Amino acid sequence: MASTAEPLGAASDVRRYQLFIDGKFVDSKSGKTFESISPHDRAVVAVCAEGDKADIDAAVTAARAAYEGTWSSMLPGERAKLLNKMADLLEARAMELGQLETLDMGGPIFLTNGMAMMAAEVFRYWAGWATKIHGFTSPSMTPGDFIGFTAREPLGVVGGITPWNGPLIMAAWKTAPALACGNAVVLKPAEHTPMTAMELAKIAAEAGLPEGVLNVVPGFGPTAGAALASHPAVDKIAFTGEYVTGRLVVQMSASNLKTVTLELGGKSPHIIFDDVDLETAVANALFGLYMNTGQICSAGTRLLVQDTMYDRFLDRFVERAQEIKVGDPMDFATRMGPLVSDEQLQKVKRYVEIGKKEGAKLRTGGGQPKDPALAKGFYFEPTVFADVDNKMQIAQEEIFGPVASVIRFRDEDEAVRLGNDVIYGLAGGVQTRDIKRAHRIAKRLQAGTVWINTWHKIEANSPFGGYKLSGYGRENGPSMIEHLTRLKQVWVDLNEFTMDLFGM
Amino acid sequence: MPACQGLTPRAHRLLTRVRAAQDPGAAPLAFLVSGGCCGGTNPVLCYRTNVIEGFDVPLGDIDGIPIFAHPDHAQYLERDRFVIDALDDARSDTFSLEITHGGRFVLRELPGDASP
Repeated sequence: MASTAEPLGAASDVRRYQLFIDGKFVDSKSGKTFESISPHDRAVVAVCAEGDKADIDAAVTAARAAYEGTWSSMLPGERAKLLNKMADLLEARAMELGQLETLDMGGPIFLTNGMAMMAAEVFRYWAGWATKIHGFTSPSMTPGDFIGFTAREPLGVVGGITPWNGPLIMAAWKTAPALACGNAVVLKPAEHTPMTAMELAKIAAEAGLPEGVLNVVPGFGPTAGAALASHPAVDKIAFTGEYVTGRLVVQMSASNLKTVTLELGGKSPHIIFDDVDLETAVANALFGLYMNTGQICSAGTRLLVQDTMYDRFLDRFVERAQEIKVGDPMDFATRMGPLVSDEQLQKVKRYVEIGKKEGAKLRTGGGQPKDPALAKGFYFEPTVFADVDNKMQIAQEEIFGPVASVIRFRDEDEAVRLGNDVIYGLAGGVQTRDIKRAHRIAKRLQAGTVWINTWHKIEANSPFGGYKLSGYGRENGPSMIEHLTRLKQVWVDLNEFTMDLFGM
Repeated sequence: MPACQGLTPRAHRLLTRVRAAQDPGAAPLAFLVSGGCCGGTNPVLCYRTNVIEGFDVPLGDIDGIPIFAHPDHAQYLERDRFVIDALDDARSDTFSLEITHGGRFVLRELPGDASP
């Protein structure tokens, strides 16, 4: 019998969270709070202080002081020790953090536990980099004895704005690399899911991170988020979310020319050729799409299937989609939990109606599960639209739910053309046994990540980000250091007698 | 006929709450239809200054507030007639101005043919 995770404390416990500013847990200046509800049954699971502009101001001031006071001058090895300590604490508490994330976000416990372990890995990876951030030497290109070198310096205060679809791992991406590079951080977690970001704040305090180095201020987008994005003492914003808000962040950043990295939406093509094993192809496609109820920006939502295996693939894919265990995300056997919110549920329903009107063939799903135990939650069935035209709205816009658009193609050129014919470019992938074809397609897809015969492999050591409207900049991997530091060029004249160009 | 046909009563009540909380001299408002990721394809209530003239496509005017979308989103929105509705007690990851007023604007298609 499948076991169900027991939340720490009674399931009915409502957890209370304050803001984390300057090393202290405090109420918001306005005294306001907001509730976080479980997407499974709409029960209130947390009451959280609601930060706004005044609290963001305090957090940025604390971060600036910490950056100038202790953090930027701390020995890199000491910073590494602290980040490793945070990794240890994340790992030790991974089960509990997974449970809290499941309560808050609705992701199945098998997944949220795994993501908590990944968050620990992100901290461990970046702890390693703290001692390895350095510049290069430059030879003089003009006559004379000179030495030139670059120093790579932290930016100062980095703001992170995270979405709700992977609250802890997103918090890790926005904090660990920035801290490793010597920046102080103000994190504004998503208002749907504040719990695990606040737990990360507790872990930072327990690890002994100096006061003010990491500040976590939950609140709403137009108040707390906008205050952070437009703050003149913030040097950089890393934002994950949707296109219009990404644009607003860019506009707000203009006042002090802060740098911005954006990870926005996706509508990733998953190209499947007829030379692959059917069961493997279907398993991979299910994993690439329905993980986290389809609420992952890089999900393989457009299944481009070669016409010579289209019918076989579709029948088996529909069969397997119908077998997905949808249910209470606290159950270890559950593979698909609810959507995160009513807004999400309404949006997915809307797109299903649009798909029907556009003439796509609804092969399975399309509604909420009938199970009365799930009636209060934001559940939606695994849904498959077949015979989708790539120009249909359901194939062009990101639904961010468990909805597949299955599209037919004839040959490699058509697969690439359809794959790229979308405004986003976050990820893409191909399943084939032909290594040459796989690499040709990897080269031709306009996407920040390409997966060959796999999906969702997103690692701390590899860059993640988009082409086109999926945003700019990369997170993770060594190249992220360039987004979190500035280069300074230093020239030294080693000649005892400098040429006096203005002398007589 | 503009694509956006107006606000539902619930959306109108939410908009009234936003306006009541604004300073008298506050900047004029606009709706920009969002897309992708967690925020969803829903209208973001922002300021007229956030609109990129000559790029964003106008889709109508609601209660004195113009609505725009990125051209690639607009091509579908122009095909259908839609209204702006609101969800009560809902929130969103976006910077949409109504979120602090206890609701979230959403798009709703009006019945009709979706074929191009």
